[in-house]
Amino acid sequence: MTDDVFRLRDGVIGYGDRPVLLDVDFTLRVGEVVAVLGPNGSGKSTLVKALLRQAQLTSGTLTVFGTPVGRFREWWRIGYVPQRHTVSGGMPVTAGEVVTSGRLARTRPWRRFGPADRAAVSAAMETVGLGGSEQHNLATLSGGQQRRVLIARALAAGPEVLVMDEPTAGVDAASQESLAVTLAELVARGTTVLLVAHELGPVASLISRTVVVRDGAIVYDGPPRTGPPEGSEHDHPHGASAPVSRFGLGG
Amino acid sequence: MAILTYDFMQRALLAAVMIGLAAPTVGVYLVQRRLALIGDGMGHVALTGVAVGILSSQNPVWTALLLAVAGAVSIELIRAFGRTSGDVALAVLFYGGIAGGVVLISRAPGGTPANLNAYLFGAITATTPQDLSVFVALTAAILIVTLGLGRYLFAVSNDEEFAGASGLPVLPINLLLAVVTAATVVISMRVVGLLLISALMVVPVATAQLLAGSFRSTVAVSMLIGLVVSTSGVVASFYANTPSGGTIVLMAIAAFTVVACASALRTRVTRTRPTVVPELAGSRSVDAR
Repeated sequence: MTDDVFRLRDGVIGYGDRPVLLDVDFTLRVGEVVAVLGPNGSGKSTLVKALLRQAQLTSGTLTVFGTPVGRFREWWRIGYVPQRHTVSGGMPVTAGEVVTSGRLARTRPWRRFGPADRAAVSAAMETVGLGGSEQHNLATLSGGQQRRVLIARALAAGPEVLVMDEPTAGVDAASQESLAVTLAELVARGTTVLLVAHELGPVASLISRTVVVRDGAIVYDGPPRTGPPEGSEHDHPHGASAPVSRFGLGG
Repeated sequence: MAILTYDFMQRALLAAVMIGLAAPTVGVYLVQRRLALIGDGMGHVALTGVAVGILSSQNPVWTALLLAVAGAVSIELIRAFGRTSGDVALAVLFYGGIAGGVVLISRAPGGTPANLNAYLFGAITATTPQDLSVFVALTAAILIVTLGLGRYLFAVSNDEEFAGASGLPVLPINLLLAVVTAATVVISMRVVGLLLISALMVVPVATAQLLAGSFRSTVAVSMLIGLVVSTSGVVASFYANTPSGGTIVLMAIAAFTVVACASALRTRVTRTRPTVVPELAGSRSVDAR
């Protein structure tokens, strides 16, 4: 099952004693571009966090690239963009410093941060359209640019999979468009994408499969539907037409 | 300088140099994690360690280190695994620490309010030659961690969720930061004092934040400020006959006030002119390719 990035079976997910999702099955295959949709509070972010060990999987089995999650070590293969509206909290931090922290998954303590690492940081900045602005203080960047810095941080380790939590929330239309351009480029390179969204906006055309979460359960898993989004009650799973997979490896 | 002819002043100044350089390198991560006051709590816990040392006729530096490290590790574990009552647990630990210290010292032979004062607020005459060799080793260990593993401490302090998702050992890194915070409290107990050390971890960093444009330069500038205020505070304390800890902290606050006023003034002046960031204005067209 090495074609599966994540394979979750009978997952019960929560924080502490409080389960948010019950008996969830979810699979992300290499090459897919999957959107997890659902209203606020449905548990869609929690599902994605559990895949990355940032929410507690209280029962069920999860494998990552075919390895049981507890034994998986190559987390650099998955780049994560958490939901965050503002990045800095008063501390002066440059865009380059933030992106560099994404490279640590590929380096070792006490080793020098070498030319290859620096090149990876520059390339990640280039990919999100912020090439050459490593020295800029994060606080001077717009909300959309800050979001792109966080995407560059996720790309710095050269991941094969990009996991994004609400990448379009709270950024203006122009930034959403540029995000869609960046994402299209990554998908064209063969990067597998899993994104959580309240609404898809300009990235909708890239999506190969949607998963709809409502009230702690997956209520739809199939090809993206046109027409009314997740609010509609007409959930007809179409299992037949599997999306075209892209097996190229990114990074 | 005439004051350098006194052995105790040489030791106090050497200790001040070490504290001034080390404390901000730890504090910068505490400020980033919004745990600026945690050093204060560790000072409270270390006081019990000092009292245990005095009671058992050990060098109080070692017992303070032991208790401060134990306290630091407990605090981090409470933060990582504790539930909503974590805040209260910290309060119990901190006030238990200072209460235990005060009560135990009062039972020690020769335990007087006067020597308690030296531990709480610092004294230039307090540093012994044995202390100094311990402080050198601890300072070296602190700087090796805070500067050598700086990228890791930054990543975890900046975004714990991202660091965890990318496979970094978040809990061990946080525990390491807790332990070097405890070590910083201990090297500061002679000259700065257990109740004031937190200020030297936080105030130079707050000042540097206003001057620097990057995290790296914040660390460098805060070390410079720490060095200047701690050494000049010790010298001023000698001439003015004041407790060294309070004098150093007042110096640090004076520096912060001057920089904050200058920075506010500069913001008012530049706000009248529009600022343009040319590279970023240009990057919009890169997006559109």
